[in-house]
Amino acid sequence: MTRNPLSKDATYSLEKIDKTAAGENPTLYPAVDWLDFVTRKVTTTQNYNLGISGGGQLAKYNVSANYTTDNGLLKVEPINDFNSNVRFNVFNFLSNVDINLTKSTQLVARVKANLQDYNGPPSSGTEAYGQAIRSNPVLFQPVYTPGENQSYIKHPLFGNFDDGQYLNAYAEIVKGYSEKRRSNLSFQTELYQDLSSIITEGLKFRGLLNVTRRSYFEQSRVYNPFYYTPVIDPVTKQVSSYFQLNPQTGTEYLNFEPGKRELTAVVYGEAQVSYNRTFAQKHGISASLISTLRNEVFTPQDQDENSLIKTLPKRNISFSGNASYIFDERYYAQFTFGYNGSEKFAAGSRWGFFPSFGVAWSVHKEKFMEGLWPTISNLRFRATHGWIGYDNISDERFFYLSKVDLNDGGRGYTFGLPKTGSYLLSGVSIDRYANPFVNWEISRQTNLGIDLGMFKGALTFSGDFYNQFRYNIVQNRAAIPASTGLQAPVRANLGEYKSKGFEGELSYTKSVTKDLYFQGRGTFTYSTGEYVYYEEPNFQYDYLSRIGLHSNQVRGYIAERLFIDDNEVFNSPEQQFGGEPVLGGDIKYVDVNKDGVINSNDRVPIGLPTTPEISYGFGLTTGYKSFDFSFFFSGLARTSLFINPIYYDVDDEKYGVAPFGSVAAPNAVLQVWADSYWSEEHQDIYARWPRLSQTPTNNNSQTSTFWMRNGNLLRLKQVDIGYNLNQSILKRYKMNGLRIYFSGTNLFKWSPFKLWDPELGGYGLGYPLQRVFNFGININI
Amino acid sequence: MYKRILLILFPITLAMSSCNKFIDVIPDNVPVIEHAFNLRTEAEGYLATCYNRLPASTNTGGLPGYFSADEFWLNSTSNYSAGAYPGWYIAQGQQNSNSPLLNYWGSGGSGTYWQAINDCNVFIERVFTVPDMEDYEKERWAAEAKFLKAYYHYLLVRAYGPIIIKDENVPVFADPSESHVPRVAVDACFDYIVKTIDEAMPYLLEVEENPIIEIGRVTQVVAKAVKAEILVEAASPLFNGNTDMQLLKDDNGNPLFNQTYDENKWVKAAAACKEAIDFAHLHNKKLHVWTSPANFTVNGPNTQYKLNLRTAVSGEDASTETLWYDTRSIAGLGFQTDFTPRGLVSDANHSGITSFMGATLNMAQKFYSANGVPIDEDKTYPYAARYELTTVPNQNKYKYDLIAGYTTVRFHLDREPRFYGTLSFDGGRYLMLFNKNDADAINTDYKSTGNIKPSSPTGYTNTGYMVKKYVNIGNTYGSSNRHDVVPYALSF
Repeated sequence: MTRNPLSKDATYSLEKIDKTAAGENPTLYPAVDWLDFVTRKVTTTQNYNLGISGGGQLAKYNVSANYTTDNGLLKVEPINDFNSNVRFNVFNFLSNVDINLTKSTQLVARVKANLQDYNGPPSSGTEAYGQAIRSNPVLFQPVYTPGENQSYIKHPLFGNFDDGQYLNAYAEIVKGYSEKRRSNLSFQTELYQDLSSIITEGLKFRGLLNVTRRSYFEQSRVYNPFYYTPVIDPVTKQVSSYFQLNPQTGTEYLNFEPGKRELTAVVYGEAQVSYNRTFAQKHGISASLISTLRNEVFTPQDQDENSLIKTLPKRNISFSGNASYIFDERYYAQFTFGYNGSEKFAAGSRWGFFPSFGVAWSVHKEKFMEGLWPTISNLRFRATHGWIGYDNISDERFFYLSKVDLNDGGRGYTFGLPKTGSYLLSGVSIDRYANPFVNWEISRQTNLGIDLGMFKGALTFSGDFYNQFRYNIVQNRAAIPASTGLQAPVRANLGEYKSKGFEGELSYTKSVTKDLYFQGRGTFTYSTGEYVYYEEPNFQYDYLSRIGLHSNQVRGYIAERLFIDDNEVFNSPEQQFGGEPVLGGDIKYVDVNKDGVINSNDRVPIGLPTTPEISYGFGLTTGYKSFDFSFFFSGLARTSLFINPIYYDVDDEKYGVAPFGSVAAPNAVLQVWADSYWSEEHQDIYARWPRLSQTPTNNNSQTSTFWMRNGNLLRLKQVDIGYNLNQSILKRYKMNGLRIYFSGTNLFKWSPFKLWDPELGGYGLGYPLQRVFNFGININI
Repeated sequence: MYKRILLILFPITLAMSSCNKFIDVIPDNVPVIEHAFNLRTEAEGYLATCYNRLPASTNTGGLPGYFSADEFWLNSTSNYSAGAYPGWYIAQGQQNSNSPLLNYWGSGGSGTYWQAINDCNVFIERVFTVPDMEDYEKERWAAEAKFLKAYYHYLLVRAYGPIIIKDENVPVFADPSESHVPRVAVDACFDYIVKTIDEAMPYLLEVEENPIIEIGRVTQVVAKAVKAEILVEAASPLFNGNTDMQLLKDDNGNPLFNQTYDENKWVKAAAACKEAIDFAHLHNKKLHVWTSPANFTVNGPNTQYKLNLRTAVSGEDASTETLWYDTRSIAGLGFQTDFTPRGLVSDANHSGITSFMGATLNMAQKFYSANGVPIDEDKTYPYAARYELTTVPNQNKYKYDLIAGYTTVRFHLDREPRFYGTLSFDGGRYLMLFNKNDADAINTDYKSTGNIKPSSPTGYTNTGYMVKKYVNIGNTYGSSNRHDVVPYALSF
C-alpha cells in the first residue's frame, strides 16, 4: 500500500513468500543467489619474463619480453560449445639498441610492442556484476534442466517470467562471447650530439622522433536466449515440462555484433639544445631550449555529424626554455617559459606565453652549518612563482567554432498525409555557437618548499606549500534567460578560483644488523579551495551562491527526519519536487528561508567536498635474512559521501542503490534497508530508508543530509611476505633466483561508513574493489 | 662562432613560421549557419525547423490536453513517471514552481517555444538572401514563419499569461543584461500576436494546392481559424478581466492582466470565427461524413453518426473537417495501441497492445443522455440510480451499443450516440471494419474474467473506460501478436 496507493495487485502472494522461505521446491519457488551462481572464487594468472642484454664499444642492446595470462571468475554453460569466460593475454616486447656513431654522437633505436588479446562474455565484468545484482531472485531459476519429454531441446533453457522481459544475468553472461584485440606499436629514434668540441664547451643537442600506431577492435557473437518457465501438471502438482516464453525473439544460432574499432597514428618529435657549464668553479650556468611537435590522427568508427571533426588531426606544438644560474652550489635562480600553441582557440588566441621564476638556497652548504653535519646533512629552501595555461577547456574540440547540423532529422518536419504521400524535410540545429573570444584558462601559482635530510640521509623530509589562483575559467553564462531562445549554452572565460595546499613526504631507513633492516615512509597531502568569482543569476538569498565554496561542495536540503504520517505532510510546508504526492514516511526537509514552501531556495551547502581534502599513506618494509615483509596503508579524510538513492543515473551511466526501480531488472535491496524502513505498520521516523516505492520518488531522491555520510577511509592496501631461496641451493639447480611469496591487496578498511566501500561513492551496487590474495613462485633462470 | 649559432637558429625560425599553419587544422568548409540560406533546398529545411517545435499531437505525456484536466488517468505512478507524463501529475495536483511540470518556458536556454521563436526570427531575417528563389516564394515562406512565431507566442501566453515579446533576436554575445526585458501585459501580447498573423495573412496560400507537400503547411484557412481561436481565448474570462490575477503587476505597478471585462472582445472574436468559417467553406472545408466501404453493412440507426465522430479524428483519408493537420506526428502503432483495448480478438495474446489510456468517470459523466440533455439535468434519466447494476434489455435500440442480456451499470444505458461512438466500456460494443457488419461488433467485457481484463502489470485501463476515436476503424489483429494499424494524422 505505501509503495503505491493506486496499485491493487501485490507482486508476491503470501503463499509464494511462505513457500520461497521454506525452500522446498526451488524450481517453482526459487531463491537464487545470482552473484554466487555466476562466479567462481579462485582463478589463476601466469606471468613470464625474458630479458637479454649485451654489446660492446660500438653498440649495446637490450631485449625483453613479457607474457601474462589472466583468467576470469565467471562460470561457463556446458551446453554451449564456446567458452565465454574471461581470458586475457598480454604480450609485451621491448628492444633498445644504442649505437655510438662517433665519439660525440649516439643513436638510440627503441621498438616497443604491446599486444592484448581478450576473450570474454558479451558483457564486461563490471556489467556482469551489475546484471547479477539486478536479476530477480525469486521469479525463476537461471537455467532449467529439461526432463525426458523435452530432451530434444539443444539449447540451454534459461529461466524467465511473463513475456520473457526479465533480466537473467546468467543468460546475459553465457549467451555468447566477445573478442577484443589491441595492439600498440611504437618506434623511437633518439640522437644525442655533444657539440662541445664543435661549437662551444657544454653545448648538447638531443633529437627524438617517435611513431606510434594503435589499433583496437572488439566484436561479439551472441545468440538471443530462449526463455522458459516451468509448467505444473494439475494432477501431480509437479513440474511436467517447460514452456517457451519468447518463441519469436530467441535464436539458436550466433549473431555477429560489431563493437568499437579504433585506429590511431601518432607522430611526436622533440628537439633540444642544452648548455651546461661551470665557470671559475663557482658560477654554474645552464640553459636549454626545447621544441615539441605532436600530430595524432584518429579514425572514427561511425559516420555521424561529428566524424569530420574527429578525423582532423590533433596537433600540439610548444617551445619552452629555461635558464638557471647557480652560485657556489648554494644559491640558485631559474627562469623558465613555455610558449604553447593550441588548436583549440580561434586564430588570434592560439599562442600563449607562460613564464615562471624560481630561487633556492642550499643552507647545508653554508660554512656556519658545518658544525651540524651529519645530523643535518641536507637543508634546502625553494620558492617558485609562475603562470600555466590550460587549453583543456572543454571535451569538445574546436570549441571556438560554431557547430551546426544542417541535416538534423530530429529538427525537421514532414508535410503530407500517410495516405496521400509525405514530404520529409530535415532541419537545422545548433549545438554550439561560434565563440571567437574564448581563451586560455590561466593559473598563477606560488610554491614554497623545504628539503631536509638528517643522519646522512637516513631520515628525509620534503614539504611543499602552494597557493594557486586560477582565472579565466570557462563557464556557462548563467545570466542569459531562457527567453532568448538560444539552443546551446554560451560560455566565456569568467570564473576565478583560488586554492592552496600542502604536500609532505617523510622516510626513514635503518639497518639494525647485517640481517635486519627497516624502511618506513609516509606521505601527506592537504588541499582546499574556493570560488572567488562565478557568474550566477541574482539570487534572492546569499547562501545560494557558489562563491566562497569548494568546487566539489555539494548543495542540498537539510533533512529533518521522516514524516510520521500523511497528516503531518498536510500540516507542514509544501515540498515542491513534482512527481508523486508526498506522503507519510517521506523525507521531511527544513524550510531554511521560512517562506512556507520547500523549494530550491532552501538548498544550502552541506557536508565537506566530495573529493577528499586530505589524503595520506604510510608503510614499512623490513627484511630479516631471506625473509622480507612489507605493508602499506592509504587513507582519505575530510570528505563527504552521498548515497545515490535512485535507480539509474543517466548522466553518470551508473545504477544507484534505490531498491527495486524496475520490474524486469530490479535493484537488489541492501540488508540494512530491509531491516529499517518506514512502513504503515512501523512508522519509524528515524528509519534508514524512507517509505518504499517501486521507483524512487522525487521527494526522497533529492540531494540532502539524509543521504550524506562521512567519507573518511583508511585502507590496508598491500601486504607482501616473501622468502628468497638460499644462493647455494640455487646454484645446484642452476637458477639465478627463486622467490616464494604471498601478497594481499585491499585487505582491510576502516571507515565510519559501513554499508559499502566509500571509494564506490554513492553507487553502492557498483563493482566493488576486490580483495585479492596472491600466492606465487617467481623463478629466475 | 656566430655563423654556427645562426646555423642552429635558422631551422628554428623556419619552424616557427610554419607552426601557425601546423596547428590550423580546420578545413574551410565546416558547416555554419549561413550555409542554410545558400540554396532554396537548405532554406526549406530551415523552414521545416520553424515548424519543428509545434507540440506533437501524439505526445500524450507531454501535451496538457490529454491529462492535465482529468481527461485520462493511468494505472500507477510506478509505471508512469512524472518525467514521462507530467500532464497527469498536474491532474494529481503536483504542479509547482520549483521544478515546473510541462515547463515550456524552460531554464538555462531549454525553453522549446523560445527556441522556436528564435528560429523563426533567424528565418525571417535571412530568407530574403537566398539566391535561387522567386520573391513571391520568399514572401510566402517568411509569412509562414511569421505566423508560426505568433503561434508560439500564443502557446506561451496561453500557459503563462503575460510574456516577453521577442520580435527580434538578441545577438548571442550581447551582454546578458540586454536580454533582461520586462514582461508585457496580456492585452498587448494578444494585440501583438493578432497583428503579426494579420501581417502574414496576405502572403500565405489560401489553401493547400499540392497535397503531398502542402498539407500541414500554414495557409490562410489555417491562419484565419487560429486567429479566431486566439481571439476567443483573449475574450474568455481567463484573460478578459481576470480579477484573480489583480496582484500580478509589472515593476511600475501596472497590472499585467486587464482588470476590466470588455464585452467588445467577444464581438471581435465572433467576427473572426464567422470569417474563418466562411473562408473555410469557400475552400470546401466542412464537417466530415464517413462513407461506408462497399463490403460493409450498416444496420444500426446511429452507426453512421458514430463513425462520423470516430473517423473525423482517426480517419486515414484527408478529412474535410480538419483545417490544420499535424503531419509530423503521425498516429501510428505506438500511439494507437495505447488506446486500444487488449483482447478485442480472443485468439491472439497481443502483448504489444499497451492499452493503458483510461478515460475518466468524470468525462464519461459529461456525455448527455439519449435525450441530448446533461444526465444530471434530464428529468427522465435515473441519475440517482446511475451506478446500480442492471441487465441490458434485448431490444433493438440497445443492440448496436450494448451487449444484450449483459449485466452492467445503469450509467451505460440510454446515453447519447456520442457516448457510444467515443467510449469503450464494460458491456459495450466495439465496431471495427473487419466485423463487416455493425451487428457483429465486438463485445467488450472489462471484468477480471472478461476479454478486456487487465492482462499485463502495466498495460491496462485503471478506469474501465477507453477512447475509441483514437483507434482507426481499419486496424486488424492477427495471430502471433500480429497487429496492423492504419496510420493517420491528428489536427492541431
